[in-house]
Amino acid sequence: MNRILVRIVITFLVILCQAYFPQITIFNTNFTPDILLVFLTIIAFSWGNVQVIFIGFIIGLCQDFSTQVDLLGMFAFAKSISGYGLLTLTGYSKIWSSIVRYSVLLGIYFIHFLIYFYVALSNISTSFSVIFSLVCIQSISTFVIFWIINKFLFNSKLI
Amino acid sequence: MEFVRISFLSKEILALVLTSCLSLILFFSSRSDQVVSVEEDVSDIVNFIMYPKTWYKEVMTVKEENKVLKAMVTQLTLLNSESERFRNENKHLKNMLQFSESHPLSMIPANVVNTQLSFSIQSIFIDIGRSHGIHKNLPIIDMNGLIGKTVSLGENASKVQLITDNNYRVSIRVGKDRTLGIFVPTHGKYGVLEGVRKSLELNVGEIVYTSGISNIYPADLPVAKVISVISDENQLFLNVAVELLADIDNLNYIFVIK
Repeated sequence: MNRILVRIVITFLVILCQAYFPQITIFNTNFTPDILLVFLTIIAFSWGNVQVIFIGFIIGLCQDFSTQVDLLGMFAFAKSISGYGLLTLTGYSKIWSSIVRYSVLLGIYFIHFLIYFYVALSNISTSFSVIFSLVCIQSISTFVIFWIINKFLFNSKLI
Repeated sequence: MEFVRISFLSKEILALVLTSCLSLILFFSSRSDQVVSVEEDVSDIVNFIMYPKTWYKEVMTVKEENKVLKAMVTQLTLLNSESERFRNENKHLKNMLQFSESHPLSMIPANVVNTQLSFSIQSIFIDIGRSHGIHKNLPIIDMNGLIGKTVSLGENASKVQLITDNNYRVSIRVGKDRTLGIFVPTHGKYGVLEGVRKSLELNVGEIVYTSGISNIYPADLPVAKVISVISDENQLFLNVAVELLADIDNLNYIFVIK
């Protein structure tokens, strides 16, 4: 019971952290690294069961409520997809090398942010190259955060 | 009862489907610009994916429509043909009405129902008879001129001897002097005038009228027009060839003069 409570508290803290995380400006565009996605990745590699998808959904829903209400369900959808991708990736931990798994993880992040930017920028005419650049920057920044956490906090045990 | 386990439906996929459905329901319940735009894109994609089905359906529909249209075209062609017939009939009847008004005679219109049933005389049958007040030896005309006379009667039909019959004779008047003569048919719509005196100045194209001497024909019914006039020194009378005015070859509507 205490364990579940601890997890809920940690999740709540991460959501707060995401909400108050400072924006980074690159090429005159503001970015906020997706801490919740990093948190979901850590959960996926730690637990490795179907609950990850539901947690991804709940985290995404919380993110929707905390960041924008107009597109309610968008982050929930993207995080559910990411949760499924991450869960699948954990099944290949002993088959694929760490480089391949990192590449797949980057691919999952890429899909996550592609969904986000495609929907968020769909009402304004934005060229695909701009969307692609934004998705790449956001994916790489999130990936770097995860890599740092994995390297220094988990001693590269996750991947 | 045994449940068959479907291998591809794992817990992960079920969870993904469930959460995705919930997310999408939430997402599409919003009416923001982005959602509308995404909906449009989704519609385009669905339309693209469904295009072969739509195309096949359209082709099949076109085939069915083509069949129906062909049937309609046939029906309309028939209707058009019928309308055209009615139009001609109407035009003809209008002309007949004007003709009837211009001749102050008591005329009963009738339809020709059959032709050339008799071997002995050239004749036609008309659809009025004794019950319509018709009796024997009544002159028959069409819009152009004399056609013949009634020779035998039924209750609702009559037989008409045509003017082209070899035994038919009509007393006529011709020329400025209204000289008497007798019309005698020769062949088809042609005939000759007998008994026209040589002193008469007669020109081609002049109209020959009934004389009114006979008990059968009233005076001044148009009969024929002159097509040639030959004066032979060895003969007492002029050789006058005439062409009937009545449209003998195409009889549809006629009048019986009472």
